[in-house]
Amino acid sequence: MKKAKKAPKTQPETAKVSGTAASSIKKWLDFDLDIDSLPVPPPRESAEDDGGDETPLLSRIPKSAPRFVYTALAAICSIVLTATLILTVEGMPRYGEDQDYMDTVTYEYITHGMEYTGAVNIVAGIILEYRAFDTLGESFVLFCAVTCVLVLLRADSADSMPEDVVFRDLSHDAILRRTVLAIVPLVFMFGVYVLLNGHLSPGGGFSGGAVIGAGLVMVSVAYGGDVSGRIVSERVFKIVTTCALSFYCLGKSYTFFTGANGLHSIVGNGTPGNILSAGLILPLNVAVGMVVACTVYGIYRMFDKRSF
Amino acid sequence: MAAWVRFGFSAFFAVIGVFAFISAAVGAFRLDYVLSRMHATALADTVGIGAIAVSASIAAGVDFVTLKLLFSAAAMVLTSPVSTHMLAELEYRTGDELYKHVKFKVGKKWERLK
Repeated sequence: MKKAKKAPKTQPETAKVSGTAASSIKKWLDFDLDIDSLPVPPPRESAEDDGGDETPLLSRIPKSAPRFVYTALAAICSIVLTATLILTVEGMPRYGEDQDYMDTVTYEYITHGMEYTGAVNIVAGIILEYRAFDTLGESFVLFCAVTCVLVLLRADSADSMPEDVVFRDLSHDAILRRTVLAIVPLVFMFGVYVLLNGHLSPGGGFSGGAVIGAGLVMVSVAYGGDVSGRIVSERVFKIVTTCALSFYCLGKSYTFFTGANGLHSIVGNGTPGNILSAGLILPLNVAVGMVVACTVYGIYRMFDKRSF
Repeated sequence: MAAWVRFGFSAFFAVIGVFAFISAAVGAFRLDYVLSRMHATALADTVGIGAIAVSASIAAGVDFVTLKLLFSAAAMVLTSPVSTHMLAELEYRTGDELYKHVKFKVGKKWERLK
C-alpha cells in the first residue's frame, strides 16, 4: 500500500531532478548545496525478482567468476606486459653503440624535413606536417575542455548569476588600467608574431595562441567583460573555434590525400625562409592559435562571470 | 682604462641587483605578515632584475641581445609592481588579520587595534 502511495508522488520530483541537475552542480561548486533538500529518487520497481528493495546495488551484480580468476588474469597481463617491455629493451642498442638503425626517423626528419615540408623550424614541420593529425587531436582536446567548462559553469539566465564577491571586481583600478593599456598592444603584437612566424622560428600555434589569450584575459580583468566581449563575443567564439577546427580537418585531409596518392596538390612548399612558404603550416598555425586563444579566454570568462 | 670604467659601471649595477635580491630573500623569511613580505619581495622583481639586466648589458656591450635584455627588463619593471599591487589589494580587501598589523594614530600615539 505504501509503495502505491509513494510512486505517483515521486514521479514529478524525478523530472525536477533531471531539470535542475545543472543548477545543482553549480550550487555544489559554490559550496552552498544543501544535500538534504535534494529530492530522493524513488526506489526501483524491478527489484521483485532479486528479493526486495533492501538489496544493495553491489550485491545485485552476479558473482560470475571466483576471485582467483581475476588474480590469475592480472598476473598474466602483468607478466606479458613486463616481458614485452624487457624484450624491447633487449633489442635496443647498447650505450655507446652505433644506433643508426634506431634513428632512421629522426635522421629523415632532420635531413629531408625542410625539403619536404618547406619549414625552416623543424619542430613546426613535424607537428603540423608529418604528425598533423596528432596536433588536430590536441586542438580537439582543448575544444572538449572549453565545452565541458561551458556546460558546467555557464549561467542559464541573469537570475542564476552568482552574487558579486567583494574582491571579484577589480576593474576600476587606475593603475591596472593604465598598465594594461600600455602593454596589451605589445602582447597582441607579440602573439601574432609568434603565430605567423611559427614555421620560421621557435613558436607556433600553441604558444602564440596562449599569448593572445592572455592578452584577452588582461583586457577582461582590467576593463571588464563588456570591453573584451567586443573583441570576442559568444558568437565570435563559436564561429572562430568551429571554422578553425573545420579548416584544419579539411585542409590537412586534402594535403594528406594528395600526398599519399601522388596527386598534384594546389598547396606548394614555396621557398623555405619566406613568410609565405611551408605549404599549409602557416594557416594551420593560425587555426590552432585561434582555438587556443578562444579556449584560454573562454575558460577564464566562465570561471569569472559565467557568461561571455 | 675604458674596460675598467665599463667594469666599474657593470659591477655597480650588479651589486645593486644582488643587494635587492638578498634583502628580498631575508625579508621573505623574516617578516611576519603578507603585506610586509610582499613589500620586501616586490623589490627583487623590479630593482633586482632591472639592475642586473642593465649590468649584464653594460658588461656584454651593445648588441641586438642587449636590446632584447633591456626590453625584457622594461617589461618586468612595468608589470611586476602592478601584479604585486593587485595581490596586495586582494589581501587588503579580504584579509581578516589586517587590523592586527596596522597602527592607527590616536592623539599623538600610534596604536594597534586590539
